[in-house]
Amino acid sequence: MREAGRDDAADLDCLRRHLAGDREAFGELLARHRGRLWAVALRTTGNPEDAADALQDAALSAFKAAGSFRQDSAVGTWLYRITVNACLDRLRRQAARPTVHYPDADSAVWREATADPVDMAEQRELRLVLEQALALLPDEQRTAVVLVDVQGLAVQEAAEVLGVPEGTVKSRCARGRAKLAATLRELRNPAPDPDVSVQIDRPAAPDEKRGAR
Amino acid sequence: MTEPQEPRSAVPAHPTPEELSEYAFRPETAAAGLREHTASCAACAAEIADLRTVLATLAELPEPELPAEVGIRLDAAIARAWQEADADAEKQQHAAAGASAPRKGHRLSWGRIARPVGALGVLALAGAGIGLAVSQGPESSSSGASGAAAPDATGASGDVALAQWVRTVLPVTSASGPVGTPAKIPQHGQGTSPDATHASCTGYPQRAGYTVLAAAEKQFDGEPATLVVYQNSARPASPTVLAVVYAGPCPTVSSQILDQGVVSR
Repeated sequence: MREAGRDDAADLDCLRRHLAGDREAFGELLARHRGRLWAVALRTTGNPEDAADALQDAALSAFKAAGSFRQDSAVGTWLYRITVNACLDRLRRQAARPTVHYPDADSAVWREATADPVDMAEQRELRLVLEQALALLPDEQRTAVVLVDVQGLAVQEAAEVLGVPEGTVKSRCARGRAKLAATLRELRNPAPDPDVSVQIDRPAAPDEKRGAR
Repeated sequence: MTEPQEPRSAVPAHPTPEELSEYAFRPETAAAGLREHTASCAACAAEIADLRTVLATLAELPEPELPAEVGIRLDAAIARAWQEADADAEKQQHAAAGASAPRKGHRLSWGRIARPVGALGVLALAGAGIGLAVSQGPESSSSGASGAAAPDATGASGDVALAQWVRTVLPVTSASGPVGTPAKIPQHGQGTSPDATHASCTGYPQRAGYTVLAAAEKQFDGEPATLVVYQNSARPASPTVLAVVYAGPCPTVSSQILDQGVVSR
C-alpha cells in the first residue's frame, strides 16, 4: 500500500515545530506528502491547472489551520482531507466545468506516467483508457475511487477524508468501479451491445439494474 | 452526503453492484452464497473478472510526479504566508509598542512563539491535540529541524532579485564574522554600538529568534530602502536567511516592510 511508509510521528513533529515558529517545518511536512497530494489533486480535478491551484489552496489552508489539528486522525489523512476539499471546492465553483484534459495522451505528464519500459502496449492503453474514464466519473465517485483504489487508502481512512460513512465510500466506489468495468468491456469488445448473448440467460430485472449503472 | 445503498439479501438471484464490487475488492469477505452464485453464473463471474482487472490497473497507475514549477509555487506560497504572518505580527507589535515598554525576557520568547500562531488566527491552542513547545523558546523549538529535508534552496521566497541582493550584501558582512557568529550589527533594544559599515544607523529592527547578520541601503522600486538580513539564532549555520526590505534608511520596528522572504545564502 502506498501509505505504508508514512511516519505520523515525524509529521506531528513537523506540525509542532511549525506552530513553534520554525520556518522550515511546514515545508518539510509538505515535502513528505506533496507527491501523493498532487496525485490526488490531479486525478480529482482532472487537469494540472486546477490541481496546482487546489494544491496551493490546500497548502495555505493547512498552514493556517495547523493549530486546530486535533490528532483525531493521522496528519496525512488530515492533509488528504484538506486537499480533497480544496479540489471539490474548485470543481463546485466552476459553473461550467471545462473539458477534462488529464490525462492528455500528448502531454508530458502522461508520457512520463507511462514511460515504464517493460510495459506492454496493451497495458499502457488500458491505463490510459481507465485514467480517462476515471476523469469522467461523477466527482464523488471519482474521489472515492482515487482514494481507495488508486492511492490505496483503507475504506475507513477514505471515509475520514471525505467525511462520510464507510458504507457511502463503498457505495461510491462500487458505482465508480462498475462504470470503469463497463469502459473496460467496451475497450475489449466495441460491439454495439456486448451483453446481448448473456442477457438471454439472465432474469430481466437484475440486468436492467446493472445496465443502468 | 449519503447515497442510497441497496440492502444486502442473503442469496440474491444476482448480486447487487455493491456486492460484486466488494467481492472483487475483498473476495475473502464474500458470503458463501455469493461465491456459490458467481461460480455458476458466467455473467457475474465475467463482471467480477472485469472489476478485478480494473482494481489491479488502478492500483498500478503511475503516481504522476509533481511538476517542478508547482513545487516552486508551493514554496513561494508558504514564504508569502510567513510574510503575511510577520506583517500582522509587526502591526500587533507596533500597536503594543505604543502602549507599553518593549517586551523582554520571557515575554519575548512567548511573543516569538505566539506571533506566527496568533497571526494565523489559531491562538486557541490549549485545546489542540498536539502540544505546543511554548516554554521552549525559539532556540529549542528550532533545534529539532535537521534541515536535511528542508527545501533550503527552493524554500526561498522565489524573489530572485531579493536573493541576489542578499548575496551581494552577505560577503561584505561575513568578513567581520564567520557564519554562525552574530555580526556586529546594532540591533534595536540590544545595545546601539555603531558599526563601521552602518555608522549612520543606531540599530535595526529585531526579529525574535533571529540575529541581524547584515544590512545595506539601496533603492527599492525607486524609493530609499534598507535590506536587513537575519540569521536564525538557534541555527546560525542554516543555509537560508531571512531577508527583510524596510522602507527608508535606518528602519525601526514601525517601518513599512516592502518585501521579505527566506532566501539561500
